[in-house]
Amino acid sequence: MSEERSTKKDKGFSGGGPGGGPMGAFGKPVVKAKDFKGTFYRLLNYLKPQRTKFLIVFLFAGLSTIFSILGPKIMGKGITKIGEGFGAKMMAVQMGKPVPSLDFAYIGNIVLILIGLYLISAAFGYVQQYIMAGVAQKTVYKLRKEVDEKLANLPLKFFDSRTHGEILSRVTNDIDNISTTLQQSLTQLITAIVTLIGVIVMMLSISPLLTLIVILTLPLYMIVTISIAKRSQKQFAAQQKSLGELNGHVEEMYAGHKLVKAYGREGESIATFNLINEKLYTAGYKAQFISGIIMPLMRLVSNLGYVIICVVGGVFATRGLIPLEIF
Amino acid sequence: MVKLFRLLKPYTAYIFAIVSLLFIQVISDLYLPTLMADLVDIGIVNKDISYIIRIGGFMLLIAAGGTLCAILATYLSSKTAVGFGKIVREKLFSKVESFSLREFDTFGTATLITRTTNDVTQIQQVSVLILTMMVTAPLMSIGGIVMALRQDVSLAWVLVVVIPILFSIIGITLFKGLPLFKLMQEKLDKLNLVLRESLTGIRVIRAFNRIDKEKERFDDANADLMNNAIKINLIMAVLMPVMMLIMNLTTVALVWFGALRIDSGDMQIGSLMAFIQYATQILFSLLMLVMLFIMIPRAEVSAVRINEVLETGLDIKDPETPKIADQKRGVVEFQDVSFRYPGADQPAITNITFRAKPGELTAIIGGTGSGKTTLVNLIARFYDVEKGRVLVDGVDVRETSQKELRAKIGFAPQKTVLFSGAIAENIRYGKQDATLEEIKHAADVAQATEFISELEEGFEHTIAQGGTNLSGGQKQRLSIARALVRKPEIYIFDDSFSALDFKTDAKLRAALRPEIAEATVFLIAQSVSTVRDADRIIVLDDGQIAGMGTHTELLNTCEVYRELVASQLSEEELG
Repeated sequence: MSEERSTKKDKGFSGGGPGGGPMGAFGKPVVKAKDFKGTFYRLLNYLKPQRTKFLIVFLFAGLSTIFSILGPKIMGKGITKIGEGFGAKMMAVQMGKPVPSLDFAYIGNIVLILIGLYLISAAFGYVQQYIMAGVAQKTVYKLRKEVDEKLANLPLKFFDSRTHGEILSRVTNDIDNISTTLQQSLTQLITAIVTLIGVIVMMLSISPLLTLIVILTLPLYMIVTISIAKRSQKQFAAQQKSLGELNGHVEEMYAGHKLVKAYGREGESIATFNLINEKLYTAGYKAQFISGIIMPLMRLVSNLGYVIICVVGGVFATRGLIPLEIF
Repeated sequence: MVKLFRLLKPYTAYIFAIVSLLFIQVISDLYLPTLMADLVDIGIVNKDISYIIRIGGFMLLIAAGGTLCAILATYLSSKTAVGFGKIVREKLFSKVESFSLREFDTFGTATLITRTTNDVTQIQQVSVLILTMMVTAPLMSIGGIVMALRQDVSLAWVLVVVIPILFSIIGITLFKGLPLFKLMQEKLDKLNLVLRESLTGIRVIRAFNRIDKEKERFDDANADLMNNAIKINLIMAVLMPVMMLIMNLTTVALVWFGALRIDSGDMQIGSLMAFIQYATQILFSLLMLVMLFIMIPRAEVSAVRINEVLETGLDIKDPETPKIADQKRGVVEFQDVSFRYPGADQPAITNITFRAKPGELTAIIGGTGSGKTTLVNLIARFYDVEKGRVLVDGVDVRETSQKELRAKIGFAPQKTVLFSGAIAENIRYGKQDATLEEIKHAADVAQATEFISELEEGFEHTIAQGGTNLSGGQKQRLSIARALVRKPEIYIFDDSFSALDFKTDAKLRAALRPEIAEATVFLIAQSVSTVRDADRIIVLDDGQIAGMGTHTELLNTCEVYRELVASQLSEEELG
């Protein structure tokens, strides 16, 4: 169980790539696309030329995950064996018989298997990330290039009705977001799906009833995620909007600094700035808060499941219905 | 960064609350595995079901309490970090607004914009992380170590081996990765720069069919960025699997050596399980800390850039007791004025002396870089003189308040600036409470009414940022209207007629004459035909007055002026 918990933490954490900080990809759907389906399919189109590479990535991500799920299962066997030996010792002590030793040949075997397993899993994980590094960046490169080409063909009216900051932020920030998403979320999705299936299979093989309990907590995760995502999208959109407004104001006022000074309008300029800044603050802290509570809430849900399993499993274990390994 | 954190003072109470809440949360997190160990070692081994249920309920309570603390802490830290960003942004913006042109020029517009927007956002994001992780991670790792030791002391040597390995791998990665991270920002800036340039110059680029050339430039910057990003990702591709491997192998090692301890009767099975969980918690906290340390140098760069702005001393300040000119007329007097730009060897203007009265038109003429704009900038006190005095209505401009001084001046700068918004709003910038009548009148005089009425929405027509959807002449006329609506005592037209065609220029001039008859007017011009009617022409040559007088006077006395005239006017015009 501890292994499973750790992989979960890892997911919220692996945002070490450029741009996206930790938890970058999580709960941060910036501005909602008007036509999500269409946008999604178009994005898929961009990925087409790299199809084979993507397949390889998915394959390796899957394999890597399967191997890392197998880990806890085998580890569980080891711990159960230790538990059995431990129980036998206790019995022996109670009955005054000579204390038996643990089955170290068996445990040793498991340890060796585990080492091999984790090594293979790490290797697969590396290959997958290695390929993905190129794939995501090349896709983003192409995307940027095409935006630039498109800009060159757009009528001047397009540029007149938008501030430079706004267009710039589409080409750099927004595309950066796509890059982070491609690089992290896509493989995470694969890993998560494989993990989910794998873990359920594993748990079923240990105890169907406990699996049921775990599966019952899944809707809770969904509810938490969906309701938070909904709210956060709204707040992030509001934040993005205020930020754009603020950038626009700053850009104009700085570009016209001499004029602002000449006409003594510093006060008004600052007042307008503060107004936008206040709006940005309100939207910003709400967005920050909502995305910030995803982790604690997830942890609560997983702790909830964990405790229930501890209790139910504990009760079962005392009756000898299941081995100790579920932990 | 530390300097900036002083601005967090209003949030001191919040920060204390955050730390205490997170402390409770960490303790509850740490307590759970111990309870689990009890559940296994006492409950299961003794087959005590009521004990198991009791401990289970207790665990639920602890978990819920921990979550509550975490949520509260997140709420407070969001408010604190985003509020911090707000304060820094506010300080920066008002500081920049108080900058004189001199300070403004030392930074430059582009970097000031990035500093006020991106850099602050960067800082804000890192402070969120610092407020949460910086507290949780050390508490978690120390607490984890304590709890792990409580479960079993002698297994701790596994951690003693693993942690240095972990750190050295991270160290190597950082050593290789950090330079690339820094480059990343540079490459992104470069891409921004290329794109910004092609946006500002979009009309020129299209007119001269330079689109392909620009595309190539963009592509270069784009490819450069991609290659750097791939390099970083390749390093990261090693890091994550290796980290996971180390964590997993640690667990395996704990199982093996834990089994040995259990075999010798020194340890219980539940303790081993708790120990494994603590070990994972410790390693993850350490990883979190490291990630934080990757983020901090990047934020530090931003913090330094922000501090540079905040710590810039103000060159031009209002005196504590500003003198107010008693007469409200607009007399401008230069007394032996010299000025040089910061860092320049040569003075921009030297020993300028003259006096301009209301009702007079003073024209300033001279070659590029002869100091024309500098001279009028000194009237509005955009810069302070190095030597001599500039008097407006008998008061040294340094002894009155800037607001007071500039309220007397209507300024139409050389580089026309318009703000995005309606045309009426742009003209109203000159006088906040101007009525529509006043605006229309100003537009009439500036010969702007004709083209405005041709626009779809007339005075409500929206101008794009920088006025890119208007022609140069149209922009100049709006800029003039903005100065006119102010009805100031002093007008400064810095080459403001340059983009007008001959006909419009003549019409504007005729309409302008009665309008500005009472005022002191300064007119910078390139062409002699524009200045020949002036009451006084100041001929500037290399920052010095080469001659001063009316057109006819100067023709007789001033060699520089004669040359200028000869190069521009035909024989008969010379008269």
